[in-house]
Amino acid sequence: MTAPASRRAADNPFSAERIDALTLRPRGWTWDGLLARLEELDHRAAVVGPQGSGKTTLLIELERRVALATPRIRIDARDPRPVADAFRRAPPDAVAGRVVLVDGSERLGWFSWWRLRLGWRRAAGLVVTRHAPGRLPTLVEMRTDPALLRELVAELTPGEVDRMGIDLDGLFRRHRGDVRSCLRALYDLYADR
Amino acid sequence: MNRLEITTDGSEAWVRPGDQLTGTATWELEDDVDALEIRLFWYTSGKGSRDVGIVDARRIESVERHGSRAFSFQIPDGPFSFTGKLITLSWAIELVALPSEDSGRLDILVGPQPVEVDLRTTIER
Repeated sequence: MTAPASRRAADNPFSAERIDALTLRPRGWTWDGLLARLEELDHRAAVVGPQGSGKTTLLIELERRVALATPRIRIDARDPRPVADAFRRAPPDAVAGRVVLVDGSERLGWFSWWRLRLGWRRAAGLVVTRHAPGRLPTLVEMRTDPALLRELVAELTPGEVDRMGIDLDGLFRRHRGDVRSCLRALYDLYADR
Repeated sequence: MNRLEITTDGSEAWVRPGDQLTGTATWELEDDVDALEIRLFWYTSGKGSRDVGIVDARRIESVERHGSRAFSFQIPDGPFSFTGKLITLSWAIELVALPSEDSGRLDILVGPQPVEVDLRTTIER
């Protein structure tokens, strides 16, 4: 037998559960401010941002903080019947007085989108994630930059960020600003250290 | 702050598949709760999405603020505790206050040997 050449998955600071536990919120916003803005928009709003910018993480946190939220519905691009699946998980009769949260709404075509909006018309609100503004007023736009990546890495590996000697700015560029993808790449780098 | 604690008889942290694991759940609660639950479960951690399986549970109703309860679980045939570069599968017993979900947890090791199966090691032939 030879000695392990990598770290245990459970000890990796970039494991999925540790990334999911990051308290990612848009810069310049407090949770109270974000929830007040959501109320101003009558709970009908979109979280907008590119891939890996933290939209899903924000939606998960909203799910926790908006007391009347339904569990999140994730729209899967491979699903041939996204509307039927969404209605199965949030039946129109059951969402009255609740806020429906939809992750990945840009994957819905125009017709599917309007079927869902009409089906959920008795819901107390509809909050979606999108890559670009449209369909619903923008609640907040998620942006990423190298400083955000450095902050998150420092939070996941306190005191180790400089010692790791990894070019985080270069990593950010190579992953085109997709912070989640950067953190997954760091998992592999850290595993082999 | 609530104190929720799990201990095993003889402080055993390693059990073999098929073993009977016995222990005690102890609690000190600041507020009333609806119920407590003792859960035997496994969970994964690592690069990919997480997975969890609750294997067995014991519910405690009419809970006093302070108390303890003995428990016993039959350990199933698997999965074994294991670790690798991409995934670690761990076992635990937790005591959960409902509905707040405050909890205390004790990690245990399930397998034929008192060490987790290590997928990172290679066998030289």
